[in-house]
Amino acid sequence: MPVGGTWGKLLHVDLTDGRHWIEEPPDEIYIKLVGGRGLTAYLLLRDLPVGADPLGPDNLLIFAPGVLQGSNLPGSGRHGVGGKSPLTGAIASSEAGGWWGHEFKRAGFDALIVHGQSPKPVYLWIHDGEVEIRSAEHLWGKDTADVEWAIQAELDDKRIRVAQCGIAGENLALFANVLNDINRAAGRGGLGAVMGSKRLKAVATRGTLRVPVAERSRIGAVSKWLGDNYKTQAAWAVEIGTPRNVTSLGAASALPTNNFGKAMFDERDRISGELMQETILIGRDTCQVCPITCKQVVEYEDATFEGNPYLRSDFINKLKVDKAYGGPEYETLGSLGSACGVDDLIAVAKANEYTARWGMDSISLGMTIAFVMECFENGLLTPEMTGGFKIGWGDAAGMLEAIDLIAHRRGFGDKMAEGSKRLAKWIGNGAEAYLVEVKGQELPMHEPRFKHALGVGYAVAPVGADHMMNMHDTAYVSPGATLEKVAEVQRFEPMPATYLGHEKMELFYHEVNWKHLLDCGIVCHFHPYNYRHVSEALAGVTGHDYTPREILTVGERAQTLCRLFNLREGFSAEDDIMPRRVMKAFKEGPLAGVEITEEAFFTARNYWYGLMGWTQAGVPTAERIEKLELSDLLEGVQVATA
Amino acid sequence: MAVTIQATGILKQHIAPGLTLDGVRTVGEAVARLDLPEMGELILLVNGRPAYWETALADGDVLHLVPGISGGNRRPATGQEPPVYR
Repeated sequence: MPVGGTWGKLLHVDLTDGRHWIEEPPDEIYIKLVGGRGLTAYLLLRDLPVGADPLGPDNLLIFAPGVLQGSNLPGSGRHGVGGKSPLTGAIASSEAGGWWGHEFKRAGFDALIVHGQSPKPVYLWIHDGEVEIRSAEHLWGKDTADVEWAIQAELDDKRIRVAQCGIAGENLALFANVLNDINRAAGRGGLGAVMGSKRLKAVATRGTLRVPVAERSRIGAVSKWLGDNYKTQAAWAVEIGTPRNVTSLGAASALPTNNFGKAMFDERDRISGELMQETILIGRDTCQVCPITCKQVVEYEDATFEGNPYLRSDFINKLKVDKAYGGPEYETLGSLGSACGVDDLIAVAKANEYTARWGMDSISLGMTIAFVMECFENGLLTPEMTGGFKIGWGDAAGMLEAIDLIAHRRGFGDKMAEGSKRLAKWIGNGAEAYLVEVKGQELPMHEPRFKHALGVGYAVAPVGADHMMNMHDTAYVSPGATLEKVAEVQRFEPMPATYLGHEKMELFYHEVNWKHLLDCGIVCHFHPYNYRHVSEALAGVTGHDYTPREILTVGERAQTLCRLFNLREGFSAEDDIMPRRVMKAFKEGPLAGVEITEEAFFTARNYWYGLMGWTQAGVPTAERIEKLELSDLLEGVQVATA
Repeated sequence: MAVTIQATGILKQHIAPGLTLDGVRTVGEAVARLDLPEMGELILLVNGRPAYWETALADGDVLHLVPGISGGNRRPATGQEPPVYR
């Protein structure tokens, strides 16, 4: 009898020779790793040759839900995607919402591991235990919505869920993403390019099987709590969603502006969530089994919004924005808005449509364009170097043109599609001074000078700069539900967001383990569960009596496995650093004079290494590997511990 | 000793423009005195500078409360919800 919440089956498909086979892992894999990131990191350590080319046949593309997918727990409408990142060379491990993960799990498998490279474009059709490789030559080069609808028509079922790489992934843009349900993205790290390199256009899935769970009543109790409380405990998500951050972080000088180079975005009211609600927002959207409904849906055609004091656009009556592609969340309003100095909401909405239509991570896309803008502004790039392309701060039309060039790898887009770090190397001449990335992955839209522990988190996240497997200091400046949640394992008093002492890093240790655990489960971070809710849900699904401390250990295992993978691929503590720009103080605004000194950063980072049981060189010790009960799993696997 | 309270976004529903509080020595005392429904994440600024619950307040200070995006809230949802697309 498999562990509850699982089938005991990992599906492997080799696209080079068309074989597929089932692996039946021992129960301890599911109990110790749960799924998602933990499972992904373990499989990569075990099966990926060291130094593999991320765009070559040896890379693995792993679609990994967790034990909770298929359980109908609110917040379980998610799945993970992972592999070796072509952008960074480190592990890539992203999550996406929607319905695909739930559907795939009900199709009878716990994960999909794609090997090899197909000689021609194909898609996988996985349904109720059956696996087919089908030609995708007619789908290659098509937009994501057209691909999804075409597959549903071809297989005559509108309830089929589709995960795919877009045109950008086909063209191997290094920050191409994997989209599912048209507009839900496993965003960071270029997994769409990995998918495109395998000539795997899509994974279509339909499942009617009932996922076995151990004790449904325990899951039901957590679900009921969520249903009774989400309107108050996740009010922000219900009322407006992530776009609230434009106004909120903007007020605190924490809305990244002009490539993190400017303290305030004075025009933030022109790209805010509130303005979106007044103008182009036509509805909200959700994921499998989620009542919160946090997503944005926008549409634009032919409206002038006369009388609105904030909306200002060069594109009134000049373009359309298609609602099929959702709407901009905060990261996109920032990366393709304030980070580029763009204050044109309709242009940002169109840019968002392009990211979903063609399949690109909006954060790396926007920040690469912002880097290009800054290089032009400082004379490091000229139209002679770029074949005539030119762009500067706030140039919305240029931004839209850049996105088109990047997705299709046309003209200067071919260079921009490599990401800002490679682009800086090509430009030379000191362009590296304008880079805002860690390990080659561009920073998300949260200002480390305001959230200091988050800055350390950017430096140490296994995938490069990342805001989700991280801690947001602003949640701990007051008493409330977040500190009460952590009090389950350690009690903390409120701390300033700009404090970076030992207590902050102890809080960081627990909360980042928690975030990694959520990405193993898999549970949406926006659901206001505490440690007990999720340990109870995991216990109910699996039949294993997880405690809050034990689930944090699951998260720590996932982090440690990611670390071992990265060390093996040549990364070290020297790569766990913050970009210089975001350590230096602004001269004006609420954060004037607030810096992160090198001493404070390294003291905090190294203290956290100790909490993780890693050496001061950032290497997990054999003792901690043993304590995490990973030694057995790693037998025969090439890793280096201290 | 008087402290002026400013609010952004949805918090404006609970804080009248120009509101002042007397006798509050810290940000935490001021927020408690406001008797807001338990808010989620609050971004706290004093005189435009980052603050936290224990930040001391002085006469004439301006405390700016900004709603963040996490944490719990006992206040029932208000207002018309936009239509669900799917």
